[in-house]
Amino acid sequence: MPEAPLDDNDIILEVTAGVGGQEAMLFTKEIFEMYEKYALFMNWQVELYEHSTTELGGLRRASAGISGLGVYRFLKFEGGVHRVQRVPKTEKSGRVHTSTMTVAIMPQPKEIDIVIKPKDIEMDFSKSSGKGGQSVNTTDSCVRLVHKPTGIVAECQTERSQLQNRERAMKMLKARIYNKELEEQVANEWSTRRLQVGSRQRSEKIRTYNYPQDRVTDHRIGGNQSNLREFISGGQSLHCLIKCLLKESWKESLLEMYMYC
Amino acid sequence: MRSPVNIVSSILTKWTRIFSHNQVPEPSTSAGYLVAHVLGKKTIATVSKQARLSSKQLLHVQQLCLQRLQRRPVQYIVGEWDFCDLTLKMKPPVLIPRPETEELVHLVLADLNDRCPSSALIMDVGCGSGAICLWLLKNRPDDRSIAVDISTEACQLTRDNAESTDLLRRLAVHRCDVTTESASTLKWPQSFDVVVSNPPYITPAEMADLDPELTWYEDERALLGGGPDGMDIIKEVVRFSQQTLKRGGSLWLEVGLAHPPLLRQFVMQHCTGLNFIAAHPDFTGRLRFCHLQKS
Repeated sequence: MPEAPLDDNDIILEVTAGVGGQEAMLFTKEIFEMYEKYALFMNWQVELYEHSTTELGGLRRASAGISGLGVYRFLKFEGGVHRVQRVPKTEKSGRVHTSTMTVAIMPQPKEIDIVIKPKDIEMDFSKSSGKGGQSVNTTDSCVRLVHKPTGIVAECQTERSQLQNRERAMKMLKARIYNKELEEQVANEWSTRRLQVGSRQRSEKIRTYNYPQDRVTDHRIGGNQSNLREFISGGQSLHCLIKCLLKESWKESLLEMYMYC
Repeated sequence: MRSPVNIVSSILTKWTRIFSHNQVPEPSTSAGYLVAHVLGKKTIATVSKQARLSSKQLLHVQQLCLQRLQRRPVQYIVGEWDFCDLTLKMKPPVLIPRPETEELVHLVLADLNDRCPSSALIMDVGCGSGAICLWLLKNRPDDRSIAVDISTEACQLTRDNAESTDLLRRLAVHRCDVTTESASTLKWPQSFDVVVSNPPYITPAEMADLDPELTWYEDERALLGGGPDGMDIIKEVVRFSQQTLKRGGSLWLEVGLAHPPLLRQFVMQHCTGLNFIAAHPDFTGRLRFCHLQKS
């Protein structure tokens, strides 16, 4: 299959809980873990950037950098709204609830793709006593970066080293700025393809995980996968679906090429 | 409904409140690191706030937090800390690496890559935990280093950290007081491509304002710069470097915020054969890193 231009880029994976309160946040945690396991399955490296857990369990939001061979190529169609249908653990009457979460896949820019002037970035970090250096012991290494021209923000506190937090926040910031530019470019392109990437997908319902019926349905290619538990463990089952999506996408792009030439 | 006392979020809230009440600096950050440590994690970021602690773990958290109440630095309580991507053991009274020094090593690395493409000999004066020399050795696989410190504990800790990071083969550590070394007693005249140092640079006035975390637990010899302007040790390191640097070799120093212009003047007036190349800013935008070169 021919490669698209961004296919060998590393990515930033962002998950956000959607509709459904606590149940949605639990589901967000499960999906994030699914991709962490898939990264392991594919021999990719994962760097955690953000991880907002809630008081009552679950994940509100998380960001991770994933790097390795073909990361964007395989994960690009995972972006969109994932929906779960099941009886929540806290539900007493046994009623099935529907909750959602959103996955965003952002390619990380290569060196040449993006130019950010250091003076455009404002860095917030722990305000240690005036003199800094040897005169104070600091353990708060949280770093927050703001790109002044666009207002885009990135924050990281997953590491003990301030420099490591800064490097990760910078990667996140660059990816967010880059993706904003990319999306502005494609905003005017018109496509009837079911398999698309970018912000157009952000509010599209792409997949439903139905526990009572033990099936996963991808709404772009139809068809059902059974053994939900295996699927959500981020291994061969997920990989098979992803390969189907890639094949489908290639067929669609060929079709589009022939339709409009 | 009150949450049970043994879940992470309750424990964090409790100890943050106790630290705050007792004027312990960074109360919530401290609580976060200590609870994370008990749960086997480096930071609280990935710990589920919903997780429950066993009674054994609760006791462990309490023991660690009581130490923090006595203003023991978190890094000493946990026994280790990260310097860039290196995890190093931390042990009182050896100085805990500061975040600014993470920037110093990157400047030195860029200089080494520029001037010594193959291999280099590096000296770390006042090595402390070994952060500087070990990070450089890790990032320059063909380099060798000699590290010196006035403190036997620092020398031992540097050796321990070199061993745990598998770098001991390329590092020799010597207990040595650079203020008393003279050209005749030097074992390594004019041999080094780079001398790097984070010497004590705190002024007598600043010493009075230091937190107990520093004055009660860290080696005063690693902090007190000496002299009314805190520059005494810095000047000794400069003198020592003049004798141990190769021609064209670099001296890189982390200093106090008032020192760059004072050092520039000192070098111009008293150090023939040494040039003050530049002062570089730290992440707060203030000049802190001095680059000198032997002509």
